[in-house]
Amino acid sequence: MATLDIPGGQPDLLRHVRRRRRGTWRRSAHRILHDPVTLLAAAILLAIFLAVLFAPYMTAYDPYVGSALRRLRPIGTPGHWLGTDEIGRDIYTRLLFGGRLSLLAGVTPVAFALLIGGSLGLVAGYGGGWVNTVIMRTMDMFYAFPSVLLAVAICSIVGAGLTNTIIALTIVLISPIVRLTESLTTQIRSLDFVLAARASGASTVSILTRHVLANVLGPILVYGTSLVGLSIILASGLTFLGLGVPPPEPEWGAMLSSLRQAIYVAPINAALPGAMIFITSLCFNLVSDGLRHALDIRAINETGI
Amino acid sequence: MRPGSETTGKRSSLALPLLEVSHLSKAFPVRGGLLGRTIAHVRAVDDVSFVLHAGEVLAVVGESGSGKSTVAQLLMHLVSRDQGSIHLEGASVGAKDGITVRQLRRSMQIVFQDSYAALNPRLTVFETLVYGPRSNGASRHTSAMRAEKLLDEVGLDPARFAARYPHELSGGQRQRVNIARALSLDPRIIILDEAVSALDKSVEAQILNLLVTLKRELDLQYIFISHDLNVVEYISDRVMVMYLGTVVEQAATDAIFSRPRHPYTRALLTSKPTIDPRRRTTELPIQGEMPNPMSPPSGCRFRTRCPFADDVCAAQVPRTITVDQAANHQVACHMADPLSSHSRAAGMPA
Repeated sequence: MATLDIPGGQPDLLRHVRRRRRGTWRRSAHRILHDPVTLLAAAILLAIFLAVLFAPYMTAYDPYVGSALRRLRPIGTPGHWLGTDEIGRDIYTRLLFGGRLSLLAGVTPVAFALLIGGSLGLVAGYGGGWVNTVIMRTMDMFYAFPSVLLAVAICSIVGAGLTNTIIALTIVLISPIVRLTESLTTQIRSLDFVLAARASGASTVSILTRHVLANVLGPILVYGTSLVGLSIILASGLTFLGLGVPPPEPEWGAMLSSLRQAIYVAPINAALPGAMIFITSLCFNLVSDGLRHALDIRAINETGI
Repeated sequence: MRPGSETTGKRSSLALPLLEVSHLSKAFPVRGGLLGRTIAHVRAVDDVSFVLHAGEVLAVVGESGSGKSTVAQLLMHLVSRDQGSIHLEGASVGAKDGITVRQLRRSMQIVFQDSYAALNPRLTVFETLVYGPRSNGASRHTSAMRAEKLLDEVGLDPARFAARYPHELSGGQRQRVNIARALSLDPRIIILDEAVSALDKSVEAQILNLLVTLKRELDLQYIFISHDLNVVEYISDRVMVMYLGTVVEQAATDAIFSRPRHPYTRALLTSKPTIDPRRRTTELPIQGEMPNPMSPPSGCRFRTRCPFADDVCAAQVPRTITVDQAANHQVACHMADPLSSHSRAAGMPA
């Protein structure tokens, strides 16, 4: 346990508490920095993000232009170190540019779903009664469909394209987030400290943010991070089925779909986009696990770091 | 010797009571079936009336499920009451010409049994203590000063404890923080809902002593909810015995412990543990379980477990009789009512 004694004279309680509070965040960070798995996963994600962001500077090729003369070159071909696809485009280049759309389709729906689902869950959980019934039974309707099927259904109604993919995935991801938020909120709102806060005359908004949200946010963010992996897979799945971004746009799912035809001729080339999807979603899940551990206020202090 | 008992006593009956609760009732609906319709009601609190005078500690005792904690929540307006009125210093709470719930909560605070659940795990002790005053419009500086003073008052060194999180405290320390939090709005009444029951005996004694000291120094009144009769005898001036949502007996502490009139109170006192090996149990302990509060027995609610139950007990709800004016001793039992047709109505020892 860190020493709490303040050197010299009468303690200024406010400043002392603030210093300690910062210390808690620092210890959270400390914990992440000493977790090699999370650190590695985060580093890989960062590398992927940067590479994708600066895609034009990372390659000499155009992702849309290929040559029939150099179709399906294997991995390690000079000039094309990850080989070429079925119409002779550089796979490395297309993976870089494809990552832009795939990550966008992975992260944005989760962010939207967290915002919408989190609010709905908080209202349902704290409001209770008929508000809860209306929100939760509506969510049950969405939850009844398998997630892939629901995404496919929505996409076939609103049509293909990136925006529609994001809308469809947001709708798919809202209901599990609402469910988690609602159950956490319901648990917390009946705890004595919320009753005590109500008894002290605090406003509902203050109770919701200071007492409920503060205790609910961590687990929801962790869950959201783990959903990014699922979202990327779903987005790729939609494109694979032709419901996402239309060709010739590079996107990992779309690449997987087109390279599928070459699976017997150049199996490794065909597996590359899939490997990217796998690595990215795995890394998101690992980071999510690490975050959960690091943000757990009890775990931090028990180790006495 | 009960602490503070010399300050109470006879003057109470004339002065305006600090808190007056009349005919307080609450029934919780039980929902069931596909559409969640109300299929029954649990009458958790049924026609409870009592007064709390200045300087008093009122103990509320009874088994689990007797409605003690619901009374506490009704007083704090954490659940809404179905019927009844609450007057604080003569002002009706919630009425047009009375005071608001918010004003009431500034005068009355609560300490819960589970010291851990009662503290937000994400807030430091300091943040917990400034939260109430800040919510009521106190400045950052005032509430910080106040938090420091409160920690001193409950016996925690501000420099060591202000920045701690609840999980870094022991049970006794946490309960001290909860008491400090209850004090942070400068209330006149504190409801202690089994506040010492979960603590170790030695820690419990320390907290009880703290409560006694605070009461004297800060001019507090307590509503002390407990099932530990030894503690009740030590700390309270008046005792109210509850059974299945109703008050069966209430009187000054001496009267309850020396001359209990209700068979339930007698049975409770019998079950009180003692360290004197020569004291033998002479009365029958209570038999069986408490009935289902969804369908309480007709007439007297205690009759299903009462060794003296008679025909009249099933037929009529017993009236509340004042048996001793000086101790304001009230009991709701047919045996204490000379006008009832109970066979033992006259035969009860005085």
